[in-house]
Amino acid sequence: MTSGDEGGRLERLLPLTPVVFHILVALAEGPAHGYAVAQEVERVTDGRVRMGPGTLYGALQRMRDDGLIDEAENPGEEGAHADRRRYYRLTALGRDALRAEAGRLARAVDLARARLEP
Amino acid sequence: MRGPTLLRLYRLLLGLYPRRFREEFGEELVRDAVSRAAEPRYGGGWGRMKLAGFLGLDVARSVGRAWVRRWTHRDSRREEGTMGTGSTLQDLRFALRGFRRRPGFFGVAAATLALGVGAATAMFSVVDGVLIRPLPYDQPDRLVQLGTRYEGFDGLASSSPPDVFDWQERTRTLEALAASRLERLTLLGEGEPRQVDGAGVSAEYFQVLGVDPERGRAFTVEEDRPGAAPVAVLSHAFWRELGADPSLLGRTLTLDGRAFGVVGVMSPDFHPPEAIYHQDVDVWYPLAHIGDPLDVRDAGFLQVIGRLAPGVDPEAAAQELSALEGALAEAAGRTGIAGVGVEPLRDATVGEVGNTIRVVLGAVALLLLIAFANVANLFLVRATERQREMAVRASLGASRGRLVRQLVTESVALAVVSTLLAVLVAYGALEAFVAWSPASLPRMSELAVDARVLSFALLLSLLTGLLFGLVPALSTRSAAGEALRAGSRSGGGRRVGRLRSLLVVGETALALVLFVGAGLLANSFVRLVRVDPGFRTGDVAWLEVRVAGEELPTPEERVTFFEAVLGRAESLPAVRAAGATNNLPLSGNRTMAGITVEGREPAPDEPLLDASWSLATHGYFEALDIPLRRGRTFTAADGADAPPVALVSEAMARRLWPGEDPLGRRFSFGRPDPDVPWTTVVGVVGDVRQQGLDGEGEAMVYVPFAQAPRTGLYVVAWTAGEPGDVVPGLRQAVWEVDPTLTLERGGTMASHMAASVVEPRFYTVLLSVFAGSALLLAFVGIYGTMAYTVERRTHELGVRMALGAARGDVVALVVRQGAALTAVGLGLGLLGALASTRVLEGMVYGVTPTDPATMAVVVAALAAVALLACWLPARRATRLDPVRSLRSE
Repeated sequence: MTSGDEGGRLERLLPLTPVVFHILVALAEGPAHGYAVAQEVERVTDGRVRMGPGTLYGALQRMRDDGLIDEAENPGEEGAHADRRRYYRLTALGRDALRAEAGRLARAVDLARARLEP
Repeated sequence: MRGPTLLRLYRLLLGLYPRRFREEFGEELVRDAVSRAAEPRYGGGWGRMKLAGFLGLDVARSVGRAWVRRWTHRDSRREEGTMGTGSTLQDLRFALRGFRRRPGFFGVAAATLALGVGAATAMFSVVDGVLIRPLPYDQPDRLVQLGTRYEGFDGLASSSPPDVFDWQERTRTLEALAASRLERLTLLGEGEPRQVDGAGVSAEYFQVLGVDPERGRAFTVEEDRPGAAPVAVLSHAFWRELGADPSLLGRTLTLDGRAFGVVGVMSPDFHPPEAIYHQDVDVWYPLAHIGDPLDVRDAGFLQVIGRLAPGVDPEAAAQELSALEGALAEAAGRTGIAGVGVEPLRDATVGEVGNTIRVVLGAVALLLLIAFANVANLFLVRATERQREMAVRASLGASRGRLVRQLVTESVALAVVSTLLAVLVAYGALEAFVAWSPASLPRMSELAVDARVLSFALLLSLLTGLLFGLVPALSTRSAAGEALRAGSRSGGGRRVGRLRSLLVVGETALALVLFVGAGLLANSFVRLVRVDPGFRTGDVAWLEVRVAGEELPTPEERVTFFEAVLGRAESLPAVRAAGATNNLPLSGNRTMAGITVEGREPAPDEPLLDASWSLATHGYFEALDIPLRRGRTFTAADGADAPPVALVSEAMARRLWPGEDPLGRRFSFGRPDPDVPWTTVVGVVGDVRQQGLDGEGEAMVYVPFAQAPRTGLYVVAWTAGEPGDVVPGLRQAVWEVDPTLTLERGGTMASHMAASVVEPRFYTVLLSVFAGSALLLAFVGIYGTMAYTVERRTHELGVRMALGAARGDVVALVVRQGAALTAVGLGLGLLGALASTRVLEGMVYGVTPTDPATMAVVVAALAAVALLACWLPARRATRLDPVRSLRSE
């Protein structure tokens, strides 16, 4: 359920830019730090979407200000910089936005398929 | 690049981001970069380069957004409600009101920008149209020009029809190739008889270019066979000239006495390659119908274009065809052929103009920079003047962003107005450029101001607007509080003063570079037109007389015809002497032949000596006052049946018989033939600049007309009065012999000579216009700066004068300051000129690109103008009433 106010906020955020969409997809698996997000995005898109640090953190900043994501505790990862990294996770609004965008894309794909196949 | 260096650079780059972003994410950005540097794909030298490129691009892409976010975010928190379009409109109204209050400032700034941006836009459309835009054919990258290459000659020469036919048949690297031959034809039966530009082309011609006629069809292969009925395709322009009658298709046109059935009309957008580098074509017809025989392997006169097979480069085609040509030459026992050259059609058509366009482009860039410096200067004055106003507004609570935006709105408004003006300037400049540009510039007919060009102008102006809105705004920002505290007199901090001085220095330097360039071209042009061409140019009239070959088929008829024409010409009362030649001097035309000197016959596999030769009647040397140095000129006795004789020019005598007496020596055209008698040299005449004023006196052989008669000659006449008045008489004299001739080309030798230097004159005038504009702008810039300085120092100067300083002292004080700036600017400009005028090499005649005399004159002239610009405000300062200037606080 989304409240009326959240529905309005959602509407303003949609459709998502590809960068925002891919970050949300990456974070849907669970909290991660920025570099991990970039790597995950690169992996799932077969290297087609490569985000440099400036692009990535610019987007993360915007998404956090828009309420799509939140800063999170280190979920227990270990490594050289693990404890000093900033971790991010999806908010409820972020999850809704991803769901809405996925639905929009799915409808677009269905339409395209229907028209391509006789 | 090593890892640590890369990371240090990256840290530096991060300084470009807004502070808030840096503080929040800076550490993360660096950690990310470190993690990436550890990835295997970014290892090694190449990997480091890739990473550097990746990170650099990322910064470039994201830094703008970060700033946009920072402004919008911060402002939306602080000044929510005032940031809508309402306040922008308010800014705009404010700006326009300001402009109305200061029309002088606004007018000068807008005019300066319009001039700079307009000139740059016009030039951009020239460069875009000539060099950048692809040739207007289907897949133009695959089009090539082909030509026979001869030993000892660079470049492509025309090819012979049998060679071209053999290439056509055997090539695998070319999908298709086609030949063309430009001709002048006489059109009869459509109003007055007149000359049209025709091109005999292979049936594959239009297919190679990938274009189809707009109406009708192109030629078939069958129509390009000897004996086929003549057919023709018309250019759109020619079709319109003939009345744009659709029924013209299927009708016939009479060209050179033959009836051509019209089968097609091209579209108005079609520009044949011939039009790109040579001349427009009115009518195309199959190659089989040209005036020259197609079965002589030694006679190369065809231009050849081809379409490369997919994936083949010109190099491979050149190799294949050269091998082919080598075999053909060997089979025919021909020597001196080096192979076949294949060049992209684009290089062949526009390659040579690259340099001249670069020069003009450089001049425009300099002018644009000067205009920018001037506008920046004006904006600085204005910003300084308004420091108090801004300071008051800031103290009343306007945010810095708000004030900056106000300034940016003003400059963008100015930019928009100047763009409109600039587009007008660009249209005018382009039209003038196309109208006056020498015919040798290719693709001029395609030029137009279009959307690409307009967006270029808009982009340039907006950039200017933002730049000049922001720079003064930022540079005055820190001084704002200070300005409020201090009095109006101190307005304009030291920093602004330094920036202004820098702009004046830069402007002067750039203007000097332009001026040196213009000076060099002007100097060289004057030298060029003062060159002695080796023949009489005043009091000479000329007329081209061209008769269709079939009307005068035998040598006897040709001689009789031209003797009749010359006889009538000489009987005109205003004509003192008349003669004729087949190559008018300074026209750039020459006829070449291989010759053999008696006693020095080359071996069969050795090439012949090349000689430039012309026909001349016996009156030719007298009419043009070409001096006879030794022996005799031609006489009426040197007829077809007399022993063959020739005259040589001094340069040719030195070349063929160095240190020997050329009189009585013999040579032959081509290889010696026992059936053809040797040609005997009977005289030596002075050298003539046959190719152009910038060329050498040409080594020439003259052959009496009667011994090798042709059907096209230039009649020249030495006149007793104004030569222009004699041309109609000459025409009348020809018409008395044959009333059907067209006789379009003729005039005075003086205007013919002027036409031969139209190109250097064009570039001289063009660069002079740029230099003049630059001078004007520099004057305005220096004057403005000095006038402003005087205004700021009114109080001080008043004190000095009250204390007894003489007027001369005050003038000297002000002028000295301006002179120092000017001197620095001139010094820098001189260095710049020395470094950059090298590009003029090849465009100047008789002077080196670093000619000291030109440099000195130009520096002196510019210094004088600069001093005048300093002196005027200084004089004003001395006219101040000391009492009033003391009160000026």
